[in-house]
Amino acid sequence: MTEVAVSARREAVRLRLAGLSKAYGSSAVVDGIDLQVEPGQLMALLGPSGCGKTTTLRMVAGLVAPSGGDILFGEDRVTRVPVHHRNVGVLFQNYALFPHMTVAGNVAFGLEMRSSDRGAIARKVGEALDLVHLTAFAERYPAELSGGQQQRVALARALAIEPSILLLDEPFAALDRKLREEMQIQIKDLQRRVGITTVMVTHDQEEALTMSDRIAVMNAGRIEQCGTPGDVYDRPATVFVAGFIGTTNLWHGTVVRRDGAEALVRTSAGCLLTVRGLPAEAGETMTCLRPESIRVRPAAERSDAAANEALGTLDRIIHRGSLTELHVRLAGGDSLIAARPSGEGEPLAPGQTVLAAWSGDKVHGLA
Amino acid sequence: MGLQPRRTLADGRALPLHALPPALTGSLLAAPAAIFLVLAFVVPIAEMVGYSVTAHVTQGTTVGGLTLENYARLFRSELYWVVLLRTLRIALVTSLVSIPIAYPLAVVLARGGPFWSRLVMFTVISPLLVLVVVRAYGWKLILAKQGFLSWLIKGVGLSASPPALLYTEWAVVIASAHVFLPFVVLPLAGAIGKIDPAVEEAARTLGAGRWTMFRRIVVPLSLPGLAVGVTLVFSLTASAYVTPQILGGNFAAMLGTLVQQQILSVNDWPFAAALATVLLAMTLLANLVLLRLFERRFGRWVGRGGGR
Repeated sequence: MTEVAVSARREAVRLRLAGLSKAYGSSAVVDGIDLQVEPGQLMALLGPSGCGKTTTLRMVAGLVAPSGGDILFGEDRVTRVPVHHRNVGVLFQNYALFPHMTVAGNVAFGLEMRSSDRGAIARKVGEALDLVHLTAFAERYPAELSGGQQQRVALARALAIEPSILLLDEPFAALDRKLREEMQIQIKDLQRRVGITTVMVTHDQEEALTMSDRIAVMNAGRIEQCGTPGDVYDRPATVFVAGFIGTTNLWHGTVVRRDGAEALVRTSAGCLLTVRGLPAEAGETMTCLRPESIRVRPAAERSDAAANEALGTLDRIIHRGSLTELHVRLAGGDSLIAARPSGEGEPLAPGQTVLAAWSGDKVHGLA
Repeated sequence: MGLQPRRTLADGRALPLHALPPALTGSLLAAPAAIFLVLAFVVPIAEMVGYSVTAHVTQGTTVGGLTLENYARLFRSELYWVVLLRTLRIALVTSLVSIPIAYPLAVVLARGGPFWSRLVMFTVISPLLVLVVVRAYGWKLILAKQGFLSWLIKGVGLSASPPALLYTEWAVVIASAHVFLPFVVLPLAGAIGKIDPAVEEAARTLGAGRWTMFRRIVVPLSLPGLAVGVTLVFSLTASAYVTPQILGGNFAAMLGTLVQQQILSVNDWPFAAALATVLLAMTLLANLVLLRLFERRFGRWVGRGGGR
C-alpha cells in the first residue's frame, strides 16, 4: 500500500531516559528513572494512576520540564529542546483534534510548521491519510467523525511530521471495548510497519500485554520492573508487579529445606510449595502462583495434601467469559484463586471439599 | 454532564413542572422574563417607532398624521448624517480597539492561576463599580490640554506640545473602551476556557510556537466569544450618552446627544423618535450581520454533523 513512503522515513532512534526526575515542591512525582527503548520498539509505561507514567511521557514530549536527568533521542540530548522543536508525535487521550480544521487541515498543520511547499504538504497529507484509510474523509470536520475515525486522524496527524518518537497517552481510554481491541491491533500493526520508536502510557495491563514489545511497570515514581510481557507476567520482580499484573496468589513463606536448585517453602498457613531459583541465602520468600496454573478437583474430606497441593473448601465460582474463577478457602486459613477454561474440567459446586494442585515449576519465588 | 436541574421546591416537595413536557417547561421558565421584556421594552420601542411616523413638528407645532417627514429631514441635513456616521465610527473603532486589549486579559483570566485570574477579573470589572459621571470626569482630568497625559508626554520628552485629546472622538473611544472592556473580556475568557488544553498542547508538539499556536488555534476557537463581546461593545458604545456628552462635547457629539437635544431643548419628540429608531436599526443590523457571519463560518465544526 504505502510501503514506499514508509521505507523512505527516517531511521528509528533509540530513546534513553537517564535519571529522569520531576518534583513539585518536595514531592517527587518521577524519581530518577532510567529507561531505554530500542529503535522501532513499543514500550508501555504501565502503572496505577499517580505512579508518574503520564508525567514521564509529558517530559519526553517536552510539555513538562524535568527537575533532573536527561532525555536522549539517539545521540541527541533533547532535555532542553522546547516542545515545538522536539519533533515528537503525540496521540492524546481525547485525540485533541483541531475542531475548526478539516481532517486534511489537521494533518497538514504540523507540516505547515515545517515547510511552505504546498505541493509537498498535500502529498504528505495524502500519504498519511492513506496510511490510516481515511482518504475519503479528508474534507470532513472532526465533529463529523466517529471516535475510532477521530483517533486515526490524530494518529495520521502525529505520524505525518515524521517524528523521532511516537508517544501514546492512554490512547484507548475513550473507546468502547470492541473498538478498543480493534484499534489496539490496528495501531500496533501500523507502528510496526512504520517502524517508529514508541512509548505508550496505560493503566490497563491487558492493553500493555497485547501491544508492547517491552513493559516498564511503574509505581510511586519509580520503575519496578522493565521486561518483555512474558517476563513481567511470568517472572514478576517485585510483589507490586506480581500483584498489579493479572490475578495472582501471593503467599509469604519460609524455606524449610533445600534440595539443589529447589527449595521447599512452607507458607504461614502450612501449605508446602517447591520454588526454583531462589538465592541461596534467602530464608524467607514471597511465592506467586498464577490461577491458571492451578488445577482443582473434588476430594474426600480427610485426604492429605502433599507438596504443591492444598486442601480446601470451594467458596465461589465466578464466570469471567472464557475463564471460570474458582475461589477456594484453604484449610490453614489462606485463600486461593484458580482459573480454568469455562466449560472444562469436572463439575464442581460451592461448599464442596476440593484439592488444588500445581506443578512445582509454575511457582515463582520473590526473594 | 451538566448539573441536573433540581425540580423540587424549597420545602422538598416535587415541583409540578416535572409532569409537563420539556418544551412547555422551557416556555414556563422563560415566561416571567419574556413578559417583563415585552411590557417594558418591546411595547415602548414599538410605540417610539410608531411615533416617529405618525407625527412631525413644523414651526413649533406638532402635526399628526402618517408621515415620513422625520426621516426625510434626517437624510436632508448634513449635520444629522455626520453625527450618525460618527456614532457608527466611534462604536466600530471602540470595538476594534478593545480586541487587542481584551485578548491577553482573557487568556490570563481563563488560563492563569487563581491569583492572576482574580486580579484581572477585579481590574476589568472595576470601572463598572464607579459612577459613570465620576469616571468620565476622571478621564477629563487625564485627557485635558493641561491634563495628566499631556504632562506625562511632556515630562518624558515625547512631544513639546502634545495634542489635546479631550473633546475629540478619541477621548470617547478611550473612555468607552475602558468601561466596556469587561463585556468583551468575559465572553472571550469563557470561550478560551472552553478550549481543551490538550488541543493547544497538540499544536505545540506539532511544531507551533506560542504565537503561532495563539493565532491558529486560540483565536479561531474563541471567535464565537469574541463575536458576542464585540457586538455588546458596539451596541453599548453606539447608544451611550453620558460619556460622549462629557468627553466628546459638541465637537464629537453622538446620536444620543442629538436625541437628548431634540427632546429637552427643541421639544421635537417625533424627530427624536426617528433618530432613536435609526440608531436602533443600525446597531441591530450590525449585530445581525456579525453574528450571521460567524454562524455561517463556524456552524459546521461546532458538532452538528452526523456520524457520532
